[in-house]
Amino acid sequence: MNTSNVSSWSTQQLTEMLALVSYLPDEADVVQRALEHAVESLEGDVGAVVSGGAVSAVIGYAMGSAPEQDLVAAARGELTVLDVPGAGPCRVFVVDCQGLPDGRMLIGQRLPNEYDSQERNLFRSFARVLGLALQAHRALQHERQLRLLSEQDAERRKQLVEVLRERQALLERLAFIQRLISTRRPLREVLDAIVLGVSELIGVEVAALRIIDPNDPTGLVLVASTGLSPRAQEKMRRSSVDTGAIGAAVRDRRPVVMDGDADDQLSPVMRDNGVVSAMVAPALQGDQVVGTLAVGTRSPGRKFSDGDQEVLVAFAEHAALALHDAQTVAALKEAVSEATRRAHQDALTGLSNRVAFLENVNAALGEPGPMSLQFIDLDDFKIVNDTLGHPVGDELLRVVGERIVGSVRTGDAVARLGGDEFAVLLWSSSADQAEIAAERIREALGEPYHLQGHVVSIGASTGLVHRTTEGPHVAEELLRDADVAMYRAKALGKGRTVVFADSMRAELQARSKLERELRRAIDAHQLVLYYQPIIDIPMSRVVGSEALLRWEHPELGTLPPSDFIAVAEETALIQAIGRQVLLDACEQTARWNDARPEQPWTVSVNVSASQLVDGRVVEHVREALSSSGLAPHHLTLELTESVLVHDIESAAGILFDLKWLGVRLAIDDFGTRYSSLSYLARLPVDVLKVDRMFVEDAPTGTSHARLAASVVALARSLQLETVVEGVESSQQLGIMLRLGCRRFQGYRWSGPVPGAKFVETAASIERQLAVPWQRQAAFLRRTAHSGVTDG
Amino acid sequence: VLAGQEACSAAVAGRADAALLVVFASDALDLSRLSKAVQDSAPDVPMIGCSTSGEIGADGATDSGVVVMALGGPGFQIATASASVEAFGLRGAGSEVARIAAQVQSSPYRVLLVLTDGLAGDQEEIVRGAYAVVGAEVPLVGGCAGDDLRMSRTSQLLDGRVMTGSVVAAAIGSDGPLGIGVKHGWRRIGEPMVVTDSDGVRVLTLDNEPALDVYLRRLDAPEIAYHDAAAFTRFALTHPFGLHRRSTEEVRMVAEADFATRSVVCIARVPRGGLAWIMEGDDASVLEATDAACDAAVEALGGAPPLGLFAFDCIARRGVLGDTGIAREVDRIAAHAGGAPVGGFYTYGEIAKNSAAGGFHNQTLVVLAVA
Repeated sequence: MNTSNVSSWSTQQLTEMLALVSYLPDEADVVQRALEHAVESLEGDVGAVVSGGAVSAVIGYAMGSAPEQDLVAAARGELTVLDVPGAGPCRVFVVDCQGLPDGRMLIGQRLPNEYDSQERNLFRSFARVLGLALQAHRALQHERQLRLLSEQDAERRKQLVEVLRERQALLERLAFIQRLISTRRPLREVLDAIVLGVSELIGVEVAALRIIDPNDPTGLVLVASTGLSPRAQEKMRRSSVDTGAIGAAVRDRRPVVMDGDADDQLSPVMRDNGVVSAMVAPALQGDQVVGTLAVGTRSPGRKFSDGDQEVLVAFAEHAALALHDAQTVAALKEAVSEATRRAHQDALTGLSNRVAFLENVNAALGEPGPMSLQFIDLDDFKIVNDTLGHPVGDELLRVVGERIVGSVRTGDAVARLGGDEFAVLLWSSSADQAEIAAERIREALGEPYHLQGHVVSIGASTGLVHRTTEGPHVAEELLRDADVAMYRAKALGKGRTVVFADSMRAELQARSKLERELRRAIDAHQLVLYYQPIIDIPMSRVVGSEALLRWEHPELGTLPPSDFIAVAEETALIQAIGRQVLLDACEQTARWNDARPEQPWTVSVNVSASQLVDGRVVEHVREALSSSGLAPHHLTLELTESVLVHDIESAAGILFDLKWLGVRLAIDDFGTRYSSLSYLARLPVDVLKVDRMFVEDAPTGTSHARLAASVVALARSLQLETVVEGVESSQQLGIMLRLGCRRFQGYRWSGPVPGAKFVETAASIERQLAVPWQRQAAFLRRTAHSGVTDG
Repeated sequence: VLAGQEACSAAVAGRADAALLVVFASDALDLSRLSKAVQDSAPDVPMIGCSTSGEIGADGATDSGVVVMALGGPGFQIATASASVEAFGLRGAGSEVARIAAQVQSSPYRVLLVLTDGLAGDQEEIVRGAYAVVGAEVPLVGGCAGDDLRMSRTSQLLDGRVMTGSVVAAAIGSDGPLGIGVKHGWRRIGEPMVVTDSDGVRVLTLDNEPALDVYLRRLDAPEIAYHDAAAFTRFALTHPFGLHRRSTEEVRMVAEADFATRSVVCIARVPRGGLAWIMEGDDASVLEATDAACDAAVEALGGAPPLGLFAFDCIARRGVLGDTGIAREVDRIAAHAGGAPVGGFYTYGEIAKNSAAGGFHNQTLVVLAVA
């Protein structure tokens, strides 16, 4: 079983268990069911939960015959093999079970089988889910006790009803969050629900959820909050794990309350926000702290009860579970998309997919008689998707599929090839009939669509190809001819049908030649990485590089990505190329760093939109890091802004997954397209790259130059690092330094160089920087001075 | 009734040392008269049985028939019991019948033969209840009673009595080895789906869409299955769900469509949050599974020749094979039995469990070989 299978399978098992045991009425049942689920999932032969030196639940032995002493000894680690009648000797694996006093859960499999590390981790997670379920259960039990009391004491009934109502609210809230986790809502949504839920239930104004920074485990990053001003959020973006109340909570793995006398532990940011009492609990995965959840109130005199602490701990535990789940979701997505590629049917429309359609066409080519093929592409579908959202876009595609099917004869094959591309195979149709049919379909598609309250109109461009005696006899080629004709229809202004002619094949051939060469280039290692140095001016050092792809074409010389990336994107070669770039860049940088452990270099790698949308990038990054041994924080992934604006929700999910691997994320070309502050604040970004456009114009004082100043100011306020691209002159450098930038890349020092020359290039740049630094500093002071007087 | 008596007489063949009668009979027959008649023809011999959706005998499969297997001779210890789901709950009923395993404890080889009402609720719970009592020590084997695919009421038989909504069991202790084989023979089709909402055996949504709609659309189901409950059930027989498991997929029979809520109802629980596939099979894959299950059961006898084979075969496999395929399948089972008697029936779910891994199966063949 490969890694991704294990992780997707384990995510499923955890969510199943959560759904199964969350609301059982009896504690013994909760323990028994959780144990059963864990042991069944891992196909174990024996399992037990031991608490306080006694067996609470057991499975695998005949009733009444479980060897209590052996099980207790095994739970303590004193016995590693249990003899189970019917199964034989079983090797046991034991984990802590925090929901129970001195609790341990164990599982065994008949020898010689043993659990691997991933299965052991899953078993650990099962124990944690059991802990969560027990917490919810205790809340219920408390409720029952109160209910009994209320019957005896009419006076207190009113208060108790209130308490009961709160308990109910807690359970409902936790159930809601568990449901978000088990239905795999985006991590952001789950974390937001946690802070909102905890603040409402405890009745406080402020809640903040931080997670341990995967880059730097001594720091915490704020990932969700409520009741904090934007300013406070900025200040709390990063904090240390070892100071104040957070430090105590992390160190002692227990909640810390700051009210009354202990309020001197309150952080200044909290106090500035008017918070007078607060408490913080660690979010634990096993023994490991993965984050903290804090709440604070502005009401003077508010004391937090034990019940409040219990609520806080329950929510912190759910945060830990959500984070665990998020780590494995990327793998699940990968498994699903892999399976989708193999399937024959288009999931959205229920029509045949490309694979099945090509089989149909091949079958038709085997029969004599006339035959035509249409390639239909919707015009401006992307606008519908972007403006009305994916659900409406999907609905539109479904209806388009239905309309096409409704416009052809039974027996004609209709398929969705992908995206907004459809294809139709018309059997025994003459050329004239086929053209009439194509127009009929386009007319049907042109009728208005009523979709979820919107009225949408959309056109289509159609490429039509007739079978000829000398024409292609292979389905793929026939489809490509239709595709070429469709492109021609688009080029002629959309909303029309174009019949394929042989002359169009030349276009196709040029494109497919490039594709073939590109495929060969990958195998022949003609795609190589060049590295452009990134320089830290105050440190006078080269701190890393940006890896840039070049095609060393045997005939055309060295080609930049702009000459071939579009074809790579169209043909899905981009995935293979992207993966290779990550592997090579990490491998090269790790080798450099082996030789310079005291001053390691970072490397930046560009990630394209389609790589990010595909989602496999998470797996590729993980693979590149583990095969090269490069420290994750030495890898920066550069993403273009347009990727993020296009589908921010799914992009955010993948970015958090990437962030969780410990890599750094940079936004490339920031400010050149859709500048949006809102997404910048919501995404786990570390670096802003300032585009060359701003730098070129910097000395001119134009609007671009002013924009450059505000981009840099923005980065500083969000505590993001900046790297300025495209610096060519000293004047440009001076202006950007004055704005507060310290890291640069550009031809002023060096363009991209092959890996073999990078060490030499870096050394020469550092020599240059060391010598004229005094002079340069003086120059800068002068510039700064003149800036002031001019102003 | 006459058929039942005849079958019983043939099975017992005049021997006085019969230890257990196992009766599989169509409920097209008058089961209360039939079971009384069988019992009368061999009084004092414990008897269990159930209604079927087709019976399996050494010379072929039948409809509206009856098969009686008699276990006897020296070296057998037998105890029988029944429990009603209404009285004990699903899990409790499983536990209750499993207690009789203690009565055959002195035999070196043991098995608990369990026949249940598959329409009475989550069958995994019955299996868990029984497993909690016997542990890995006594394997569980058996199946869910049928009613010729009407899906309305099944019967369980014990000592001449007819019950419904019950679990009946026989603890079999033997001096000779007992072997169990399990195999399904389905394969995944299409892309996996996330079970985004379910409630016990009811699947509400797949990939956030109404489950019934997804199911019908993915399979390009015939028009009639979109509105006719019986037609849906017939269609769904050959298209079960497969749930993603550690080392395999667990098959779940899709039993019913709920046209009002656009959900589907399965024979066992389909947990929320899980990954599921739609599965399909053909003659070849189903027959391969037949061989594999029989091989495993006979091999577990350690070289001893089988005295008889019990087959618990899912009705859905019958749906895939058709009448001629069924004849071939039963021929194959008989060949593995090497001339020994074969008895079994077409079930609504199969039971085979001898480790903590799940023990309730759907659309599977379970074979018990007795030596």
